[in-house]
Amino acid sequence: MENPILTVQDLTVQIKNQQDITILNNINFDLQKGETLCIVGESGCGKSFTALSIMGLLPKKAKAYGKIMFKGKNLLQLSNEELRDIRGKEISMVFQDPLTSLNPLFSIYEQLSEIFIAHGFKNKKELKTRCLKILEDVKIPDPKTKLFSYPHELSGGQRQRILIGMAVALEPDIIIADEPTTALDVTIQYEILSLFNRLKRKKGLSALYITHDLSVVSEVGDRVIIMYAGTILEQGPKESILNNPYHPYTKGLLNSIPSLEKRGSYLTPIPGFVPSAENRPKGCPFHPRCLKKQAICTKKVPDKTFVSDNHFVYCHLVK
Amino acid sequence: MKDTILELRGIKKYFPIQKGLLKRTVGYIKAVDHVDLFVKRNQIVGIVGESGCGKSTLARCILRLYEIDDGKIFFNGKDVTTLTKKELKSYRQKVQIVFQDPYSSLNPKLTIKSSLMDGVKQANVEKPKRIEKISELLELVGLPKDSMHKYPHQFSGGQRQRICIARALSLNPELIVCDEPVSALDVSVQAQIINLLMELKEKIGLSLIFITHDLNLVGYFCDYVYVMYMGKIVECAPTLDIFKNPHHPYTRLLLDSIPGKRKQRPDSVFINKQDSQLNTQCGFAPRCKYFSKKCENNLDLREIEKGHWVRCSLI
Amino acid sequence: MENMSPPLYELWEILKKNRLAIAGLTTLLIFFLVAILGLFLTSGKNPIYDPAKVRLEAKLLPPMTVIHENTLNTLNEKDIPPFRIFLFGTDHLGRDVFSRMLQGAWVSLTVGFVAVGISVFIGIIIGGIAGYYGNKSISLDYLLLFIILICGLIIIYYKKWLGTFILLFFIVATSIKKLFKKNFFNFSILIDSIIMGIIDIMLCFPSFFLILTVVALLPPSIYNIMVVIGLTSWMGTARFIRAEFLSLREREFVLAAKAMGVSDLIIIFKHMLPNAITPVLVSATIGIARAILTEAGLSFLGFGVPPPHATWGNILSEGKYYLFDAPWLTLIPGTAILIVVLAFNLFGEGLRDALNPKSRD
Ligand SMILES: Nc1ncnc2c1ncn2[C@@H]1O[C@H](COP(=O)(O)OP(=O)(O)O)[C@@H](O)[C@H]1O
Ligand SMILES: Nc1ncnc2c1ncn2[C@@H]1O[C@H](COP(=O)(O)OP(=O)(O)O)[C@@H](O)[C@H]1O
Ligand code: SF4
Ligand SMILES: [Mg+2]
Ligand SMILES: [Mg+2]
Repeated sequence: MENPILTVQDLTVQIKNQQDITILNNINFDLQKGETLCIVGESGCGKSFTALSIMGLLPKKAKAYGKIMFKGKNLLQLSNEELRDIRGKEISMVFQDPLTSLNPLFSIYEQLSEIFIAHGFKNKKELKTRCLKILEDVKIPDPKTKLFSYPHELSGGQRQRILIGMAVALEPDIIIADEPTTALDVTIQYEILSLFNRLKRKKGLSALYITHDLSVVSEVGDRVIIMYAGTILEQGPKESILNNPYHPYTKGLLNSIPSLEKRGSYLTPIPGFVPSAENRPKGCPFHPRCLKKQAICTKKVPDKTFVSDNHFVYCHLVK
Repeated sequence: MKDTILELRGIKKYFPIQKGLLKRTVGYIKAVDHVDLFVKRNQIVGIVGESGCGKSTLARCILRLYEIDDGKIFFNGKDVTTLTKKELKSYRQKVQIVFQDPYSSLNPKLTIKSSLMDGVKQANVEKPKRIEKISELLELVGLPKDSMHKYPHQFSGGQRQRICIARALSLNPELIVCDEPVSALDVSVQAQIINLLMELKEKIGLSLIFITHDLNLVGYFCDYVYVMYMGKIVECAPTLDIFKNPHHPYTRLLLDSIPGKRKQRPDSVFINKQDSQLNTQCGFAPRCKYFSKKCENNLDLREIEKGHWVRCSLI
Repeated sequence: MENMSPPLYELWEILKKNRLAIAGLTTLLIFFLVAILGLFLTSGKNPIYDPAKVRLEAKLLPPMTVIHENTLNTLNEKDIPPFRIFLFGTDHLGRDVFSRMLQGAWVSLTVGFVAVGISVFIGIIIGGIAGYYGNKSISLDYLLLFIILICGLIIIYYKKWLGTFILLFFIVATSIKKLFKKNFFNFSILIDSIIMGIIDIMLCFPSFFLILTVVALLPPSIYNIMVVIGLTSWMGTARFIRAEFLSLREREFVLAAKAMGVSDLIIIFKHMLPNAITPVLVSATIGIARAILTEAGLSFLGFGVPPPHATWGNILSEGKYYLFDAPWLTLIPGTAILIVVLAFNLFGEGLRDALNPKSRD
């Protein structure tokens, strides 16, 4: 806890429509140097909005409050020009869909060299060797020919590899990966995960890994944040969250994952479904689906309760 | 021994690749390539494989939504490949399908009632009993009766998938083909649907073909598994066999890729680079580390244990 | 994810915010009312507003001419319009332009709606066939038989004996084919290619001149004009419907209906058409404007609805000789056409924007 490279304090994001919709509600976390922090939650809980707030890429209608501290600066208060310098060079991002993240009209080389040029790199010859180096880094077979191919000539996994290569090309401090393997097959998912881990270690990056799949966490994370309906419900070290969860939601998620071992018995799913951002409940955001809810849960938002020195839960049951 | 409800023999479905102004056929995508498959009554048969390997195409061939290019389909021992339109209707009452995308599986312009009405009419339910039947169906899949007056956009993904299951059930089928029914759903809701399917299997004695790319799911509730790769079955066995004793390199890779459960790290892939130059029958060869001269021979499915078949030169 | 059109009430909410569209809609409603009122006021034996009454002593009166005791006292009491005022003046025959505009409004309205109705109907059928059955091919034999049948049906309308002969030939040819049970020409074409070919050919003709030619050959009547405009403007609709059907055909809810053994007709009319109709609605709205313009153009050129029946086009046309003496004879119908066509276009554009899923947030 000594050396956070990124600190998010009281981050609240609202969308301004006729009535304001609160997408993120008082998010607090910090990212330590060299660690991988996983943000886990089901679709619509605000994971992507968290990532976009850090990158300064929120949609126009959205307004962010709070503080995101990075190297002594509050990212929420920087101008567009200052943010542009930080993006790619100091914080970079990999998106979910490798199909739409690359421009189909330009070759891989043109798109790779663009990031170098954008950050003031001009030498043509060296540009090419650098781009080749990226492809070799992410283990694209036959990089010399693949460099001049177009996105549609590559498989989904290869495209995601290139995107990861692009993200680490300028040796940033932080890499944010927003569900990078959700659109890919299991076997490819494994490759991408191990590539991600290898590059992260090699370049000494800190990473924010966003996923909806708790089982992936065991492969990449150091610490885990469980998010639900725009709030954090539980946070702690990976082993502690996976083996010893406290929040009923985390338990429910773990129980919902089928496996060979659970064969022959019914799963214990979480009843109901994820509420939309407009109709989030009062009190504990999880109470309409919680099997253990009490009277107080519908009225009061639970306080932060530490169960060990770096594992805490927001639940009235945990005292 | 339970009796066989569905039997596929050498099913083949090629899509022509057309090029140019005149739409000349320059080749074929072998989406489904000589697939044999058996489903026993009241059994859940899983089909796994990566995207694009032909799982959905196979499902549509079973439903006779695509004309198959070759092969035979037997249902309850009867050949249904050459049915007339009328006979096809009664076959389709017995075999139904649930699709992956809960958002495009329901007609957005119709209430749930009129979406379900199609099936109820096809099942020859008398007019006064139809509404009653629809509410029964909704109850069966765990939805309140009054949801029949709502429109699809008023439901969440999981609820829509329940409605799709109700629609499939409206014809009292014996077999339901589920084409990745939970892939688009949240983890917490996925478990609800899986439980529902298990319950239906026990209550009504349904048989299921369950298509998925999630091996955890297969391990959890399939009785028998077919592993598909590039249109071909590469391995099939009872679930426990395949998990304990996988033989095909692709099956092993799949099992090793299950996150969190890895005993042994899978090898990096695409070892054999020039895939176009590999002269082999095996589609997996470009990614296979055991590739050798032997793989150039004609490869057939071979039985290595009772009920465990593998298509690989290693055997 | 769901790029379907929004439900009706939401559509209205979005449309409400578009001022121009609402202005267009209001204008249209007024136009409908006027046209329907106009029908009642100008028809019958003794219409309240008589568009055909000739008053030679009251030629080319400017708009807002009020009839006093001392002016126009030669005018027969029967010939005086209601309220004793020529609201829009009179033309070179002393006919009341207001009455004529009223009558013309109904003509424009019916021409617009009937012509577009015909074109949408044909478009839906042809586009639907291309979209739903397009990937089936038809053998040349059947295609030829079909062409013979259509030719026969058309010709029998004009020349009884030739038509009958061709139809007889059709029946004989069909029975021969039934007897031999084989194809004489070993060649088949995709239905889609045939239909798209026809559409492309139709689009190649400059449609206004096509209409002119056809109308010049046919006896002049308002019904012929409607039919001809309808028959030459269905291609856009057909293309829309075909494209929508092609994508709907692969949609899961259509496949599910097929898998349940639901018949083709029910699938088309219950599941596909309601989901394909919205873009057609937009193009139909704008199509009405185009049809009104076409009719006005034809009438202006003298190919339209035969006089004495008034339409906006022929009021304009007759007024052109008095452009300097009586400018209202051209200004009034011209402005009316402009306003109505503009209103239809604005409303159509508004509808298009409202139906576009991207405008929903
Ligand atoms: N323009 C918008 N208006 C209203 N709600 C929105 C808008 N854009 C996104 N949302 C809502 O924001 C929430 C968070 O979205 P997101 O961060 O993308 O979730 P995740 O990445 O966890 O799936 C979702 O519930 C979504 O419905
Ligand atoms: N209607 C079609 N026309 C042409 N090719 C198709 C069609 N449907 C599927 N394919 C091709 O067949 C292969 C198998 O597809 P599919 O059955 O959808 O795979 P899966 O369901 O396993 O992801 C893919 O390569 C796909 O591109
Ligand atoms: S606070 Fe209450 S409702 Fe929320 S998770 Fe804990 S027990 Fe359940
Ligand atoms: Mg997201
Ligand atoms: Mg599929």
